[in-house]
Amino acid sequence: MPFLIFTTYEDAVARNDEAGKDAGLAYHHGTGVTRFIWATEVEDSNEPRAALVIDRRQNLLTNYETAALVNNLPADWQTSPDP
Amino acid sequence: MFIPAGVTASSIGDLLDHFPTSVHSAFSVRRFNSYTGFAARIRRTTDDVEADLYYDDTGDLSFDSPVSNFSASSSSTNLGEFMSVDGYTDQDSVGDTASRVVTWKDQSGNGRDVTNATEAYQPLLFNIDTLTTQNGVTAFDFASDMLQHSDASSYSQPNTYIAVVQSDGTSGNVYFTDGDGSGGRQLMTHSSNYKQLWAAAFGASSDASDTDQHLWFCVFDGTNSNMHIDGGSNVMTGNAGTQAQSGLTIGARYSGSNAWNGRIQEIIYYTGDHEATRAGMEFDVNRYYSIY
Repeated sequence: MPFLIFTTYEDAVARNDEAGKDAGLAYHHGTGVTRFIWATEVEDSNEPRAALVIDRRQNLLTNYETAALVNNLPADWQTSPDP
Repeated sequence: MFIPAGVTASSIGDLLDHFPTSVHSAFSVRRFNSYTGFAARIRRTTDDVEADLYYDDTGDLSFDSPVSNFSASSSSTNLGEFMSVDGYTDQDSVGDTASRVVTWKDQSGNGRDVTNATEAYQPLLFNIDTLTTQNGVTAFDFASDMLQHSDASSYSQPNTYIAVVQSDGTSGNVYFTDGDGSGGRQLMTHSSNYKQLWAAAFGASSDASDTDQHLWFCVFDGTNSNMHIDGGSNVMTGNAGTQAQSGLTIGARYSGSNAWNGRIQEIIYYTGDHEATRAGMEFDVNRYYSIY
């Protein structure tokens, strides 16, 4: 599954918001709820990175972002333990 | 049109009439008699138009369920038209499409709707002429999806949950309830191949995970926690922990991981221990869903 990695959660949210606006989701017209496109994975650390799960609407990415997609989270990504 | 409060076509929605005490939140594909609002906010996937979806004349969700309050122009009057179902006029010329649930309305009167503003997390209601169903009743299909209500308050144990759910799998650790991540968490899960409760510890359940539709009646109450499946005797022993519940996530861990893949039709969350009225509650739920 393709991931787009960001250094902060806030950066990932901002990019997701921009994509939702580009896609014309209802929130951005002021008439609905849906605002974001992609699911977000957040690292469990003191300075958490975040990743957007690009499983749809890849056409909303720039060429630079498309080239930066990775198929796995970084090896040093810290996940929160179950549950 | 939805049925006005107090006017009932059948007894399908009388659970909260008989058991109204301490309802924290109530989510269902059937309309409870005291509720007059819409069932869900839905999103049509081909053009991302959202609409409020109401219950039909009998209190169910069907193609005849009214739709209104569109996020963009639409001439549709019911779900069949909005989704261009065969036999209904395609008012908006959308052709084959699907719809997903943006918000599931809380029928308790407490306004604790669960929602998700991210399209990747929104459960499926409809896909190309077909409503999602389970055992003949409309269902929301969760697959890596979750709906969530955040709450600054926590609700201490005991807490009681009634749920009608089905799972597509039996392995792993997957949750169909959780908190919002800000405080206490009470999980109803498939974990290590068993139906389990967790509120800081897993109790010991003797009921194996499976892929059938079930009615879960569960009380989180520390060492006295219990779990009844399909009206049966308690299958939970041990201590499920003492955490309170803060907010509510349906369909996954609060973070979106550990997703429950399967169909969810009803979750009623009561504060307090309602074991004393369990038989009547289970009877009411099963009368509608015919699970056992």
